[in-house]
Amino acid sequence: MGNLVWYEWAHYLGLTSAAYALWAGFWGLFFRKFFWDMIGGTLGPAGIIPGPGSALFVAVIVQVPLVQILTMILSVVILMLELPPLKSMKESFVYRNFMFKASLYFGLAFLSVLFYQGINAAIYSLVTIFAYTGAQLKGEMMPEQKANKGRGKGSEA
Amino acid sequence: MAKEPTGFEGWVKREFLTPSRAIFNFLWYGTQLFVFAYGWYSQETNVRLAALNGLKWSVWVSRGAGLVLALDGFMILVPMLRNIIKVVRPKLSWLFPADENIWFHRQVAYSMAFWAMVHTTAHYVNFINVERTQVRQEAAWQIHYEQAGGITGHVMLLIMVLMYTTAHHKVRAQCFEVFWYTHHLAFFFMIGLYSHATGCFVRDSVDPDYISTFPFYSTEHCLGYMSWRYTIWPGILYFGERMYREFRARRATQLDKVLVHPSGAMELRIIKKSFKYTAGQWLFIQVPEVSRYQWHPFTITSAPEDPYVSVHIRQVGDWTQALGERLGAGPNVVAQMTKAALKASEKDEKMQMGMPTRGDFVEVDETMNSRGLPVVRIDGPFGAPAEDVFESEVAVLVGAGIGVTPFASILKHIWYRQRRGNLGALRRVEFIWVCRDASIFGWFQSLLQEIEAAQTDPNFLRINIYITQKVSEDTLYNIAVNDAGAAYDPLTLLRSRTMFGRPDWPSIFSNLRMALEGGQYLPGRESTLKTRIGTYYCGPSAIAKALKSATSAQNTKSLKFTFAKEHF
Repeated sequence: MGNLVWYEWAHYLGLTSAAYALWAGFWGLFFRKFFWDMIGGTLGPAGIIPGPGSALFVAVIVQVPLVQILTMILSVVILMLELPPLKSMKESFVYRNFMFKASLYFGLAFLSVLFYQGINAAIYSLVTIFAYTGAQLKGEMMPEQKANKGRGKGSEA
Repeated sequence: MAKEPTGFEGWVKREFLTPSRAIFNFLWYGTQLFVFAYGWYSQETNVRLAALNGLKWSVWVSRGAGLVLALDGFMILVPMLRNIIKVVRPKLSWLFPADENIWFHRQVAYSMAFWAMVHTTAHYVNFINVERTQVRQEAAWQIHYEQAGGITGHVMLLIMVLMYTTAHHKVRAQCFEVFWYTHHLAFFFMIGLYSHATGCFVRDSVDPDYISTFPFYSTEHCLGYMSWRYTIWPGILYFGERMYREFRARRATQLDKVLVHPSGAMELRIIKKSFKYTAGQWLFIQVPEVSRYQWHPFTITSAPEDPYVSVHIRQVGDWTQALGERLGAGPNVVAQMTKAALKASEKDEKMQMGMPTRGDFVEVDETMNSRGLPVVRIDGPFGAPAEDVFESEVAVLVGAGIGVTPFASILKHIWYRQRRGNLGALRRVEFIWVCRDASIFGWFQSLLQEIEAAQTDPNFLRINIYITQKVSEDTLYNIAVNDAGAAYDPLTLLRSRTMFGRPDWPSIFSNLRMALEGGQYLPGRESTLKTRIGTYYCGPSAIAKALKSATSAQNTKSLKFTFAKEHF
């Protein structure tokens, strides 16, 4: 029963995930930590001493907060996509293509699962992907996509 | 209609320049800031927690926000204690708007989301610093995912994400069921809230001081707020209410009759001896055969004096359509009946009991339905401000669109009391019905007809109907031809004339005030005594705002205009 519009729900989930990731990335700049450093690491007098397997991640998270910065950039991109400030963005395919959005959330989950503050953002992103996939499987279309039918530019062949 | 300012200006006007809202904001947010400050202070100055205080501001923030969250966790369930609110409402309606309970529930939820953000952020800093300073011999991930506080916290956050996103008004409107079922995660959320501190994170000992008896940690060394001792009570009360609701719903209930009105509305007449209600209230109905667990809210359309409880259901959603199918009056049947009824009314507006009608309702009988009538359960009733109608001298009842339904019960009830000569303070009733297209509510029209015809005092009840839909030219001519000199209005078949367009609220109420002051409206009114003019409204909130400002603008020394809005 019920007629859940999946992309609508996914939209709110996505806003939550991206906002969380943005906030997490911001705090990650100041408290830098590779979340999975306990694997192969040992607990020393000043916290976990990462094992040799974590060296690469420590380099891009602790030495340079690259992952956190990328997470923040990606979350801003996603937020702009979910709440397009420009009309031209609203008309472009990225706004209405669910699987494209899902792939962005996959990227967000991949980045945010790496650093200490981002774990929940990764989990919420996975829920968002689940919801967008649901929208895709049910064949839902956003009103912009419906309006676009028959006047696409791909008809010159 | 006075235009409400929007944007920032509107926000300031709404939140700060409306006295009642300003007081609420001051008390509500002021209390939260105070509790936050107290939580901060009590942590920072606690010498037994000196080790934790080594973490500095992050631990003070997390403890302050944690105490506010305890307050919010307490308050979040309070507005949902429907049965208790129903009891205290008449006594406390001057103090707080008990009918705004869902609104308050939302405000608590917003606060909760904000403080959860503060609390979580601070704890992420706390735990990483615990790991770095080794004030306790553990890693951050262990506090997050191995200890009660961390686990329940993360679970509660995930539940909040699911509950908040599905409670968005758009999702709720599209699919109430998803909202309804997801919101029951609140059970696990509350369990998480009550057990959040059982890990004994706030302590003055090196290791958690667990004991073998309830609550399984010793209060000698675990120095949390013990807030569960307070926050659990609304939870217990709410759980009790749900159990009571289940018990009450299981008491003998019988679906007596199903009537299908020509306009397509189904009227369910239910007999339940233990069900006591007053006019204008609503109930929850459940039909296990249609949906095992769903309860759907409907306005009661019968008067308390009627020997049955009735609700009118239009087949608009999937649940109501499934119910129609089950009752043997599915959309197809109704469509046929509506068509037949309309045809009949086109041929001859037959005169019945001296009144023109648009065909009669049809009772759904055994022949239409081999399975008999299904089992129904009802729960309620739940409150509505229209119970206070009899306390004012003049009642202005305004129904817009579907919001007209509670007035069926109220008007019937007024009519019964009028016959018994027991009207309380009530001297006159103005009924205003605003809708796009009156024909959808055919059943309501026929009810109005009966009430209008039964009036002995021509001045007691005045019916004003406003049709806001654009009227086509054909209809316009049709009305013009039929209206002139006819005893009944051609559209509504009432004696009262239909008006077209939106009602001009300020002028309606200023006319009413002038008529009252002139003395011809309520003859014998003592101008030294206060006369109460109660406006009761049900419908979309845009009109509510306009009505509210229109009514309050007319207050004078001897005339008191009040306004109340009903919610669904």
